Amino acid sequence: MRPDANLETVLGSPPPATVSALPVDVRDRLAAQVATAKQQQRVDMEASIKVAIAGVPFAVRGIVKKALLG
Amino acid sequence: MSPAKKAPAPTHAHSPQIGRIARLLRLDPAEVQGLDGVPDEDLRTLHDQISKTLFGDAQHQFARVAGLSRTIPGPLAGLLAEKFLPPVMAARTSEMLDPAKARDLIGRVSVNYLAEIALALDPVRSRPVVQQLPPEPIGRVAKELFGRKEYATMAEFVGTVTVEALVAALNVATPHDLLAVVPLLEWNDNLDAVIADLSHRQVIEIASSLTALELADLAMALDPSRMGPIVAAVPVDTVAEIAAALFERGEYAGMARFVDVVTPEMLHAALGVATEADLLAVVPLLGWSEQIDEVVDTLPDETLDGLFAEIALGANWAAARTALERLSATAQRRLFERFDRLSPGNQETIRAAADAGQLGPAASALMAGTSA
Repeated sequence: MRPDANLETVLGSPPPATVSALPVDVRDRLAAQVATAKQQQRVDMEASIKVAIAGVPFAVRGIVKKALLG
Repeated sequence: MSPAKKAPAPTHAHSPQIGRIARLLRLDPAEVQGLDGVPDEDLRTLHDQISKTLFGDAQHQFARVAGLSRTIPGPLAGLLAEKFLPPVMAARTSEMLDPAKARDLIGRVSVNYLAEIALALDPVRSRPVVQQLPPEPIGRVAKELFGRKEYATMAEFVGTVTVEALVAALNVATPHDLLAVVPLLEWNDNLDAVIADLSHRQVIEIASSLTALELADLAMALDPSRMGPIVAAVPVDTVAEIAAALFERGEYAGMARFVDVVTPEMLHAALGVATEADLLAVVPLLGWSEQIDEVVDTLPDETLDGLFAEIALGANWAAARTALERLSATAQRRLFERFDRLSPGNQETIRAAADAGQLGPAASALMAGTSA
């Protein structure tokens, strides 16, 4: 768990009051889990985009690349 | 009364909302610890906050992927999605799809992939798209999800899908699927209509393939008006077993709700397995009717003797008064005609309570007619 993990910081907004009232170790563990999932999501998304671009038939690769990468 | 093995009410290891959060975080629900006391509403809010945190930055990418589906041919779009788009991301993209495109794509990907997407969908955000989907593929996905016992997630979508889709989904449910999912459902008019309109085949299956203990669980999870067709299909002997299980659990209030939907034979069977203490507890809760009078009037003498002894020994005069006042004049008279069969000690207790007015006016009047 990251020492600076803080649920409100990770979420970008205050969680519900009942969640804020939970013990700090519970909130910090959840914050770390969210942070890890976010990082994983970024990695997966980038990987999916790369694989999709490389894997699609050549005829539509340009369209797919433009759509995914802008 | 035959001793019925106590059946626990259906329980779920984790709250459905915690399961949703875990799925979002790609964790096992057991790994999301410490949230058990948080109300569902707050867990929903937390889920949405986490979802926004995870996917908010990538919204433009999901929108582009959704837009891509308009550019490339449907067969290729389906193939690419299933091959390259993880279900959680496909779910976010699906929420942005043009409904017509979603209708096309749903037929071009595997049921397994659709089920994974369904598990990751947000029931609220996906509603505009899901409402436009035809019922047949939803039925197929429901079958897959029932097979995986994903009851909590399915229950979340009751308010999302159309009546036709709900019919398609519940049509593929086995009786045990229904038993598992019903307690999780948030009832609405659509669900009422669908449950009230379950096929005769399903009703018979439910009544015949669930055990008495399972039917008891289902009865406690369903409103009696919704349970009506199923009740009608349950054999009287099974009703007695269900009643025995519910009496043992002390589900008196839950049982009393059913008095208007059971036949006199069923009521007779149910009250026939009640102990005297059960009778004393359940009688005050019954909405009274001639049907109940008829059943109570035919209770065996031994039951009345036991009931009278229970009143004396329990000394719960408020409950006893309510129960006695609820009895028909015939039943009251029969009961007090058997006063002499009570032990001297119990006679003394009952007489003292009646003299003090604790058993109500009818009991006091009848006591006056007994030998002092």
